[in-house]
Amino acid sequence: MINWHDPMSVWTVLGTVASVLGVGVSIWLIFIAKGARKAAEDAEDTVQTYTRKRGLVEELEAVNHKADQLGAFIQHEQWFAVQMRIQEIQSVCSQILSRWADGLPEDRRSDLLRAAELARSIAKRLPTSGTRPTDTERGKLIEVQLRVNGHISSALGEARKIEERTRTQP
Amino acid sequence: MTNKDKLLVDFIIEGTKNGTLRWEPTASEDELLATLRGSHAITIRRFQDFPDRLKLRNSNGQEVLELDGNDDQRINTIYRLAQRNAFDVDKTIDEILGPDRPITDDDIPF
Repeated sequence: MINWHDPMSVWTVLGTVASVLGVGVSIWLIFIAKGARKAAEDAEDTVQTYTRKRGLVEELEAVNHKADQLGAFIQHEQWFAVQMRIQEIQSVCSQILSRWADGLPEDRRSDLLRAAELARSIAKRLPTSGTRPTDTERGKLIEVQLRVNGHISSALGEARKIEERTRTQP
Repeated sequence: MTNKDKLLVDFIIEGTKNGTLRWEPTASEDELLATLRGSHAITIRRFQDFPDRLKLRNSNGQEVLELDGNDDQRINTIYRLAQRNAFDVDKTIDEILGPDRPITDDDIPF
């Protein structure tokens, strides 16, 4: 039994209660700290995902620009520049497909593959030095280049949509 | 030609017929292109005096498989099927014939 008139007993009881409360507060603080850490990790993940998606959009914008230039070079029959742009488009599309394999849905990855393959097919049809393509041949090259552009634009549109969604996520 | 190759040819023919594979023309007059699962590209090329040639490339553009009509006779039928698929020939014929066209077996999916 506790003797409430004995100061020592009262101090002992108060001390015991304070210890129990201290343990409780410590456990509560551990939970809070864990929650805060989880929130910080989630925030970091969101930032990393956003940065990654942002990188994908930038790469796609760059390759889209190269595809635009490809069209202009074909129009002006700058075949060396056409060849250079085709190599760059193939290389960037391939890098995007390796680096962001999970960043785009299957049909948009297919778009990038198609763009790279169509660009390759243009390279195979380029006129040899000293010859000029007929209007029909040049028209065909431009038509295929427009489809290269279309496929890259589809992938870019999707990447922008994903980026937008990631940015607005709570 | 291995059994796996034959299965791939089956997959391509079936996908081309039912439209799950989408073909499109390339800059080469006699070559058509399709993609598989967003990771590989296939091209089918028709030749005048040689068997048709099917190529499979990975996403780096490396050629991983090449088959021709001598390996499997069915490869010689892919180009024609792929051409119908690429240019939506059946749909075009439907549009030309209009709504009063007679119903054929191809319209019934079972």
